Amino acid sequence: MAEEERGHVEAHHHDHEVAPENRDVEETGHYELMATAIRELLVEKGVVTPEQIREQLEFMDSRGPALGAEIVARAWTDEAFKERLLEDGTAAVDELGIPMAGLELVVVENTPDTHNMIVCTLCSCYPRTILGLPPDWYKSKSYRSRAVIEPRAVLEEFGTSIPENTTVRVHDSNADMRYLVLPMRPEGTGGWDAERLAGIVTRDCMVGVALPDASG
Amino acid sequence: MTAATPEERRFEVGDEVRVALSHPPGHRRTPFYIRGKTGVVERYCGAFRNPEELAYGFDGEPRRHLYRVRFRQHDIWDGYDGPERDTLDLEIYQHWLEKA
Amino acid sequence: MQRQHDMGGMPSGPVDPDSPPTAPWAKLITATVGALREKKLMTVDEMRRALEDLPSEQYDRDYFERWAEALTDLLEEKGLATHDEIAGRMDEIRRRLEGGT
Repeated sequence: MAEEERGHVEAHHHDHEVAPENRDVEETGHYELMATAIRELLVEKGVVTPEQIREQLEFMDSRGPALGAEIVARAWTDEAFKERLLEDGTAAVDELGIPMAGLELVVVENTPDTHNMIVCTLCSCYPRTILGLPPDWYKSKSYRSRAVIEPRAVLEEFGTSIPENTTVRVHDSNADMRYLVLPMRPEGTGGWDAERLAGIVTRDCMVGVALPDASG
Repeated sequence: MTAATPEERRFEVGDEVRVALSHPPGHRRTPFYIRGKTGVVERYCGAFRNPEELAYGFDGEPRRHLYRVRFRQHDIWDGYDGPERDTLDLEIYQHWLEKA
Repeated sequence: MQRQHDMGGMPSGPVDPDSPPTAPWAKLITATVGALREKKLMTVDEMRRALEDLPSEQYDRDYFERWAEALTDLLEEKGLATHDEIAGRMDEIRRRLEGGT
């Protein structure tokens, strides 16, 4: 996933630097024109500089699920870090050089008793500084409306079955906290190092709609 | 502009609270489905500038206390199709809460 | 009384877990909003309010299309750029592209 994101960054920068004149008119949709028009106008008026927009794009492209996977793998292999992470998520990820940009991080731990899943019913609040931009399904009407009222049915649609004797706890992320699910470390990963562990921690695991799979 | 002192904090972890059953117009961060429901304060999140004011260009002061409240799913939805133990956590600003 | 953005519990179909990569223009809109926030020219709360107040035919569009619409409304409200200026510039860019190939 990290490679894919990096590839995407390069594609994006390439695209961004090609003059609009050299691009195919047919591919230029209404909203693409709108985005370019807004940027040109705001830059010409001196409201924002190209550098300020570039910095935002670069920061955006440097965020992705690999950061979250690093946090989870560290928590799985370092009990003291895990305690700090659950106690004060913002401070703990700051240790790893990951900023929360003014928001507070709450890390919720999956246990045999409790499975956590995250949604934002009002908009699409998401821990972007850790996981990057949210996937389309997280922003969809289906997920936003149903995750709170029928979480188990939604989990089944992701292929995730939670036993009846485990509490499903939905977090509707609607204000100044951002949430990250700390999944349970799967059986059979005893001898794995942090890097190998990080490889099985997907974005969906950290939103709480999937479970890490150590079988592949 | 100097930050105003937050309002007095009224709730503690473990308090049973009811969300106001109120439908004011404008930008509100308390979802429709939770209004009028009763839950228990799970954690105190801190004092934050009021989003209902920030949304219209005001400074959001004084800061509002924000709590995480835990609800039983069966208390929120009639006919919730899941075990009794399932819960939902939500952040709610103090001015939306009253003692249950 | 339940407003369009306040979706919790509304009836809806199955979740489609597919998620194509974000288009460059969508990232540009996001970055523009980020830069305006960084400069304290707007807040995320104002952006959310502008989104919620969109007419339903715009709110129901793709996420970033919705953002683009809300951003243009906020830019006009704040006197930073008008809808007419943006539409005019879009025409100009289109002509530029047509002349360029």
